[in-house]
Amino acid sequence: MNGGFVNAGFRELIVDGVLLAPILAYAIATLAIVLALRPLLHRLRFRRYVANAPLAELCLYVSIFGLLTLFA
Amino acid sequence: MTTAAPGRPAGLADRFAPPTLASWAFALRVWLAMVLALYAAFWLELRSPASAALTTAILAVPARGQGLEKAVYRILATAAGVVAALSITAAFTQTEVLLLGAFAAWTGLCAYGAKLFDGNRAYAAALGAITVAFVAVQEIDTPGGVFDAGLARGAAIVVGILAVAFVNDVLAAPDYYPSVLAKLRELHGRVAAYARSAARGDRPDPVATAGLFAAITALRPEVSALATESSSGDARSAAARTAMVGLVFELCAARGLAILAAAVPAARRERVLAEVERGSSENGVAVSRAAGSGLAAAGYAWMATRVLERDLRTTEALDALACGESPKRMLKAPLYRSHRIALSSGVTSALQFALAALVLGLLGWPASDLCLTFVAIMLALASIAPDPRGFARIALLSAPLSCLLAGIIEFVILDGVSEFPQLALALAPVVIGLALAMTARSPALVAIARFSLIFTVALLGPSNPESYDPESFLVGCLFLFLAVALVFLGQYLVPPLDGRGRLDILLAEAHRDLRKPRRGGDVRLAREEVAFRDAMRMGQVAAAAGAGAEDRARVAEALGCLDQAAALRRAEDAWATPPAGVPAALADAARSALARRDAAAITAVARALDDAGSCVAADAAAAFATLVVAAATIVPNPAAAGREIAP
Repeated sequence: MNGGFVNAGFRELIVDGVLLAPILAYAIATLAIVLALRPLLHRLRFRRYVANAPLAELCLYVSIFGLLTLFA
Repeated sequence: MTTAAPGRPAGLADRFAPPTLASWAFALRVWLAMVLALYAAFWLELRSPASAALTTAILAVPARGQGLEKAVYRILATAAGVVAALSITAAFTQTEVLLLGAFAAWTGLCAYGAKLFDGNRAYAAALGAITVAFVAVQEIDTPGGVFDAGLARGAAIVVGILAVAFVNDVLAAPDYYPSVLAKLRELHGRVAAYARSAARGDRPDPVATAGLFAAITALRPEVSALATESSSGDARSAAARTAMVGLVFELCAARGLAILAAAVPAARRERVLAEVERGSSENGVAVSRAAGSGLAAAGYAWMATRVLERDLRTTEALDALACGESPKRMLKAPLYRSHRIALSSGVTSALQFALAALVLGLLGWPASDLCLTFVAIMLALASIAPDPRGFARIALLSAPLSCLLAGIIEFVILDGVSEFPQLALALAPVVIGLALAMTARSPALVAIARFSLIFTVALLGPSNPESYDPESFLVGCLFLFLAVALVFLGQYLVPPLDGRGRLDILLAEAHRDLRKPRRGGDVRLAREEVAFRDAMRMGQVAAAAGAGAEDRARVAEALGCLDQAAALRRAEDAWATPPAGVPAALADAARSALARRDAAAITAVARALDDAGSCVAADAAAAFATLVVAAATIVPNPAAAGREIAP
């Protein structure tokens, strides 16, 4: 019935009784993960293996965000 | 011999040169980001889509790194501002006068914070006041809507930031570090030329020297912006910071070298410099041979070698910046902040806001909260402007231009249109034109274009659906003009601290720091880092000084304080562990003379050291050199010395 898609139950972000959109929690979590990965990318000399490093990092952000939204 | 400031003044042809391809690319990116932000805001049905467009206008900078750091601080400052707005509204909403007083106090606090920081941190402090203006002041008649307004503004700002980041990444906006690297290399060349000149005994013009310190320390906010640019951003930022601090230290050492050069005959100086610059593996022996006997020449040789070493370390840091590597030794660049100047700015802003609120209260016009919002925004922006009065003049020029452009877009080009593609096309000429103007070389034109872009978007206030109400548009324009007039009037009724006042405070603080022993924080900092903080103060002195003879004398006086502080630190560190072979009594006398800042006693110790023997070991030469430089920089009447030195 759902076309084979994973039925992801979105967790709501509740701050002191105030409901905030779940997308905000995923976006902040993704940002934290990407920032934590930055030193690792620097050590691996990530910029030398891609043509446009900022665009590649943006793609990484979008990928992690999608994974968090689907499976978190 | 004076050293003139390098570079010719920019003529008309330079200031109004046709835009380059890079400028066109930047202008196109600004327009695309604005269109994308508006589209996303309309699709998400955000309450204030204009804030998303305004965010793209504010984050419109040519390079990625600058925009990203500003975006981070924009989010943090918005969150802090929303919390402040909620707190102030909750506490004072029942009392009109106290509520306005609280807004005035918050505006003053943000202006105080803006003067304590630099770059995007100062912008974040100012944004705290702007956020309260948008969220709380505009909801002054409906306090229950403050929370929703805060959330709406936060959401719109996030959408705007994402749009700018996406467009910059997809369209390959240039990195910022090549620009910073080019500026640092150019400054490195200037400092090296200064050092070569000082090594030959030339004493460059104090105002030109102060300008060089100011040019180096002005890069501090740009260097910090490198950290957010990419995965190697932290390494590049550390390398740039180390190079910047190294340049300041090299400049201070070069000034000490000029003092020592006066005591060495020209022929011997040239031999020493030739050996130092040759930099052979046997350099130490060759340099000592060239210096010959006598501690004066040995001290000169020691200092020249130190200047060259510092120059080489700076070159290594610049190479690390170019390669995206961390420097071998990381240095911090502490910020110099004058709490007195910041407090004066805060009090002035609070009083100007209170004055504007009083005038608007007496006028009793409806919807004048919009005018008060504009006043708060302009006071916040003025607090981060180098010249608040100059900012008021720029606002006076930008306001009518913005009203004209917004009116043409809304009522001539669009005139009732409700489709998004037409809105995007209607925005294109104005946004691209103003963004192109922002890449001009004329600072005044850049400032006018930037503020015109921001005010135009604010007045246009794109929404879905658009109201096309000429009455509300005219009221908005009227209140913008009134706000500019109130801010302009406030600058004269409650004038901010002028350049002379800032000079007085900075000089007083420089003398106060000289009299005090090294404090806890200074002990933890390296000598280079403390020198950088003093150089930051020197940069602020250079910015506050005018062209008159008295101001030039005060710049020379401030430079004398910087020289003395650097020389005393160098000498105290050299004599903390006395050189081998120096009698203990002489070492005690040196430390005591340095602690008392007694030039005659320091000179006597140096003379005794020279007379004691023919020892020219490196550490004895270093100790002698530091004493000679320290004695030369301590003057009994710095103000008189400043007037003598400055032409």
